[in-house]
Amino acid sequence: MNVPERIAQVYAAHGHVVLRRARQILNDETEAQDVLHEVFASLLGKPEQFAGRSSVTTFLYSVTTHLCLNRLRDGATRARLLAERGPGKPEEARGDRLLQVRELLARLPEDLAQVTVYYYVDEMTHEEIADQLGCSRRQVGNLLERALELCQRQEREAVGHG
Amino acid sequence: MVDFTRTRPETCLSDRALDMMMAGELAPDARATAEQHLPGCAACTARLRELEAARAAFPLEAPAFAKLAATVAPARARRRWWAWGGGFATLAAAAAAVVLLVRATPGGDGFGIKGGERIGFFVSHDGAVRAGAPGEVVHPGDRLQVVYTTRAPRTLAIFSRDAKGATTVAFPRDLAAGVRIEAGTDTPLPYSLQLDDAAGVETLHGLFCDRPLPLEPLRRSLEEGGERTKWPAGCHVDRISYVKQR
Repeated sequence: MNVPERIAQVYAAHGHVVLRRARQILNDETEAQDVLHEVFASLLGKPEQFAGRSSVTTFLYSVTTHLCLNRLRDGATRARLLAERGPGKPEEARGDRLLQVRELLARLPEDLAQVTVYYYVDEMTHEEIADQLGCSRRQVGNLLERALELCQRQEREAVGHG
Repeated sequence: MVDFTRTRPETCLSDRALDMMMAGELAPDARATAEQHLPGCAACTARLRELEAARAAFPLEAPAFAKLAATVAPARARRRWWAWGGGFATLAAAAAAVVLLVRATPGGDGFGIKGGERIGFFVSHDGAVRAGAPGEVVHPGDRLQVVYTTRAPRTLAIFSRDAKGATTVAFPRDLAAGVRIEAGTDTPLPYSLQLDDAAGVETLHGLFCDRPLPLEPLRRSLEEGGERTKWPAGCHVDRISYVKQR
């Protein structure tokens, strides 16, 4: 079996994970479908990015998170995503709480944004996040603490400017 | 102020854990913990079912892989094939998926319930996808995504027999014998079926065998014998019917 055939198998077996998480993070069907395309087109173009050191699910969680965060940071996309406050499918978003988290994700540095996604969107345990990121649970705790502090500071500043 | 509360109890399984369990990627101790937790937790069981349904419906919601691959220059997709070995070995280990779905199977050969080999389907109608049940009313032009469940590797063939007895091989296409499948729960076929305009009851026969068998004699036998068909030793059949209305 050649690489494209193997990637096709991953697409069939795991593509739903990418699509579901992109929907959860972005709450936008078109953007989620784009992320799905980007993940697998990227894999076809650079199969070496999956080195087999982690499970396929772990790898796809990581890539999907990264691409979704990129989209949230992109100016035009971000404005549109954050302006769309209509309800998604019940499993795709948990209402205002996720919308607020999404707004913050666009402003956080990559490492803090990632850990925020895993903790507040995916609702993983510290142990799972550590496994996902390849770091210690202590580091996960530190990252979450920093993310929370930064969010609270930004909120205070926003209130101050308002 | 942003609400940073979480909705999932700490004792429950995350989507990541459930995804990994469905893919056979959980470490043995984590899998044992999950298998112990699931039967007593309605929320996690329901979530697992949702994820399994989403996996089964994926081919109906996403573009075909061939279409996606056509957008990528083929020469770029040739490197480091060996890196994929481990990942696919893991995929092949999906046998560990926990079977929780219970389904009454009309006419199954005694193993259609809880953990046996079975087939099912999802229906895409006017862009909406729903799980199909025995006797589901469907319409010409609808797309069916057939899924199968088996605890062990088998060979699979699926026949479709319409109200007039006309029988076709729905899976695999263009092959003379059933194809090997790996263990898994509600694994979708690599393609969906588009329904024609022949009205009436149609029955899908999923034939799970311990070896590849020539399909044409089996198709002919089913077309002529219907429910009285004698299936070869080493095979189990699971049937599910739907009603096609114009």
